[in-house]
Amino acid sequence: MHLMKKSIKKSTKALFNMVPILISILLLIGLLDSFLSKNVYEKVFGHGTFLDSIIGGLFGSISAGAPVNSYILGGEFLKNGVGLTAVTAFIVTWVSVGVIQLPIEGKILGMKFAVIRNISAFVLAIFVALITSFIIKIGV
Amino acid sequence: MKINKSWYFLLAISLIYLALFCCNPAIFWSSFNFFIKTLIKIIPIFAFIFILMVLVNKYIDNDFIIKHLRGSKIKSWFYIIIGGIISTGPMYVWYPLLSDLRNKGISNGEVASFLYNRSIKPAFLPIIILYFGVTYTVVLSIVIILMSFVQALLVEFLMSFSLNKK
Repeated sequence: MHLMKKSIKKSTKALFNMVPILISILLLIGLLDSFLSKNVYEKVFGHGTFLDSIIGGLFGSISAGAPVNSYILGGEFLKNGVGLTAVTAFIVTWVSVGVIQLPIEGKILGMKFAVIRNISAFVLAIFVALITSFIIKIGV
Repeated sequence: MKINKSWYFLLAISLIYLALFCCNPAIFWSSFNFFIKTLIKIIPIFAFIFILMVLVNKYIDNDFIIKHLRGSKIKSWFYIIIGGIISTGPMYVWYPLLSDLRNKGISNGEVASFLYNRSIKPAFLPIIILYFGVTYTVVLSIVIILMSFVQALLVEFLMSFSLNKK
């Protein structure tokens, strides 16, 4: 019972910590929806599957916060015509690549390791995006 | 009391909304309606996410993951994947623990693989399913797990050129 109470408390705290950024992201999406037309998304992304996945990956790499935000943002990108490959690269790099955390990762785990891990995670996220989209496209 | 910095971000966004309400109410209402609609859509999902989080926190703690990462090679690989998936909290929380484990024998590739598998978040599965569907979620999770092995090999290979191998 004590463990249950402790886990409820921990989960409530984790969810509460998520609230401000989650609400902010939702409000921001509302603004983007009003201000940005589909043309803007097409201009940022409409450069072909491969290049779009790199652009999506770059956006994800420099972002931080709970992954749930990347799913919501990614879902909205998808609704606005951004390709599944770019969106997948965005949500995978959101967690697996941490440009903002790179200094601390380098300090604790070694800079060479941190750089190699982040670069390889970015490159592999592009492959993950291409493979996932391909499998979805052929209709598994 | 320490204030979470993200509240400042929320305050900044709220001020933009306030400015819009005064200058351009049409855009304000359009954006606000969109916000409310999306919020209504995800609130029930968050109730489910909360239950999943409670269960994960109740049955799995960080010590459990660390203990199992030190097993035999096959067993430790299994726990590296599972550990990465079920690990909670921000990524940087895990750096000191992973550094410690590396000093006790797990490889750079295994550390990288653990961190890569954090891309799969069981507690947030309902929200990814809501936006992308079950098939996509399953396919993506499997591809990430397989790719985490590739990353382990890649990191091991590239780190082997290091002169200051840790």
